[in-house]
Amino acid sequence: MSQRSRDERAMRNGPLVLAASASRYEICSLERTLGLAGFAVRAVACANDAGDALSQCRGHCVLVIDSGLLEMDFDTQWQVLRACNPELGTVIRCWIERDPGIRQIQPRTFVVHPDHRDGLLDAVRKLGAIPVDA
Amino acid sequence: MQTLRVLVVDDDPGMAELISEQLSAWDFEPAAAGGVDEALALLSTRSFDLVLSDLHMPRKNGFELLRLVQESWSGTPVILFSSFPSVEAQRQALEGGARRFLSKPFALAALREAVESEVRRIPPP
Repeated sequence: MSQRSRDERAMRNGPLVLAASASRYEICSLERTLGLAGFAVRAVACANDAGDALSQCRGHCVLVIDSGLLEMDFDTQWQVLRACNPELGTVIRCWIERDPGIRQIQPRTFVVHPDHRDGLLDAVRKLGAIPVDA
Repeated sequence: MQTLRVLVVDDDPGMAELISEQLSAWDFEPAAAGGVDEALALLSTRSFDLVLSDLHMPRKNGFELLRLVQESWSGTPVILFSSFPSVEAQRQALEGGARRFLSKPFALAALREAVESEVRRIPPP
């Protein structure tokens, strides 16, 4: 079964989650956490990969990304992706206060503490539940 | 000239290895620890001129290492780095005594500049 077929099959249960991190460890952790909760997860190595996935899934995706990737001063690819796709629901993993560990900063953007597993799942569910044209 | 020792602390072995390789190429003497406890064990057995530590690690994080280094090896500068930077994290790091806070991924040039600027502060023996 192709990656696209797997993604489309899994998407019947919710949005495809695009996981972006510079760390292979963090990708594995996200795949495990989100996969166990029933989400389809695809690791994306760069913004181009994420853009391709968005096209294939007709925008029905949620991006989970480390804040460090959005703050690179030598590469703005992820910022450009978000600017070009304002409808893209995004969960930014960021070192915020542990209590409550989740914060909605824009209609389709949450920040969650990297250790806040339930906050991550809650944010992904909320973004999956929000219509794209909201 | 004496080679300066740098302790690299990261639970991601690939990242620790990458940083250590670069430090060797820049003529530093690196040692790698996979977590805070291993770092404390190394600090207890030999002296280091600089500690470079990830913030997000299981069990004990970089802030805890920073606090422990400040308590027991107060002359050893600490640079923290994180894949999850935020204004709050940076503030907490600098208030806790870290010399720098780097966002990961970082350009190697930025790492080198940070390390060398800290090394320049070390008084000659």
